[in-house]
Amino acid sequence: MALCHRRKDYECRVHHIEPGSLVLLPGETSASLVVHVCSESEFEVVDHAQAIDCSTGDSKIYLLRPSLASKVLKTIWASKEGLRITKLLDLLNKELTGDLCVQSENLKLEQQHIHPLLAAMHRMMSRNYGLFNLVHESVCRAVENWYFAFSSYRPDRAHFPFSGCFRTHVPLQRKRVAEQNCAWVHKFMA
Amino acid sequence: MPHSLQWLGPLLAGQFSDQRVKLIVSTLGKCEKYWSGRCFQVLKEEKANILKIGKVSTFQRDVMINEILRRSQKQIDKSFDLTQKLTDPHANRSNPLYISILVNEMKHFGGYQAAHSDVELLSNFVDEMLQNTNVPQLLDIIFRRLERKFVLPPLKQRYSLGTCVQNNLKLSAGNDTRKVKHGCKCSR
Repeated sequence: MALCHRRKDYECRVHHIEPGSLVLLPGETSASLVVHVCSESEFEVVDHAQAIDCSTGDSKIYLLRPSLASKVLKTIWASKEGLRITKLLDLLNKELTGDLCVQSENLKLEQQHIHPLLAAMHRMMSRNYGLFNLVHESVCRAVENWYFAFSSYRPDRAHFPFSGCFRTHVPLQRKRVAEQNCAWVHKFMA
Repeated sequence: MPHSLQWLGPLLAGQFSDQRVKLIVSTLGKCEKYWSGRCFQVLKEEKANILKIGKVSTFQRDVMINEILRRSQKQIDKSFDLTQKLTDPHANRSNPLYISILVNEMKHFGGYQAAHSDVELLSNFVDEMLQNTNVPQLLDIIFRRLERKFVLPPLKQRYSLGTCVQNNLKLSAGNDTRKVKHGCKCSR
């Protein structure tokens, strides 16, 4: 099994395999929905109703549809104090057009795409002065465990103009620092 | 920092003399053991009026469930006995955030049923959710629902992600989930 040779350039596309994305697997004529990422090289899928015109002749995995919930939650998680909806859209569109190189206009995200999602998540999100943020530490932890278990957030990817708004730690590092602080406090309290 | 709370006792004692009430609230389960720790001793020596608020009682849980359902003009049949289902050795199920998330998610049963046709009864759906004993695990179920319900338009062109090494690794009988291996081991 080969290592990704383009890792340094952050061009490896495997990070688009995330819960909720729709993929086409080799030799199959229907799409598969990614339900869980199990390890750095394994993920779980279930059959999806969407039929494909023809199967691919090669052994590649193809992305048919990125995961909206994953991208929104990961981006909001990475923000320090939350994001305005305009900034969130800007970042997501940059990722889709820049990182994914999607040129088609049908994937330009508008407010109507993410408003219903944000409304459905209102119990786990706060909205202060227009800034959407995760409301509770438990929600942050759930996002880390579900979406970042085998991936990391790279603040240098397409977010340069807003780099001041983002955390600098990847989740695993952040978790370790938090655990160290917690242990230190508990030691004095007990 | 919590270990240097000596200043808090005198301050609170002064405030209590004015018959004003101060609340120090923590929802951390780990704090239970600190009731006999240094912070508590500092407050106790100052004879502060201390009211411990413990776990959510059955009555409080009932009120909470009914209130959440009432906001969306729903109610739950008494025969369903959700309170009994939540009365469990797992202390995390008494967590107000856990109860709030569970009851709010129950309202989406119709949508969940459409995505998971195997779940036909609300009780099965609730039992399945209750298998997750803490808030982050419960949120995983919600994330799954959101991923299926709120989607982007499909890409016009397929986008190659990498080489598939192994496909169709069946996990267990009766489970529709399959495991797939790809050829890249980078840390993503």
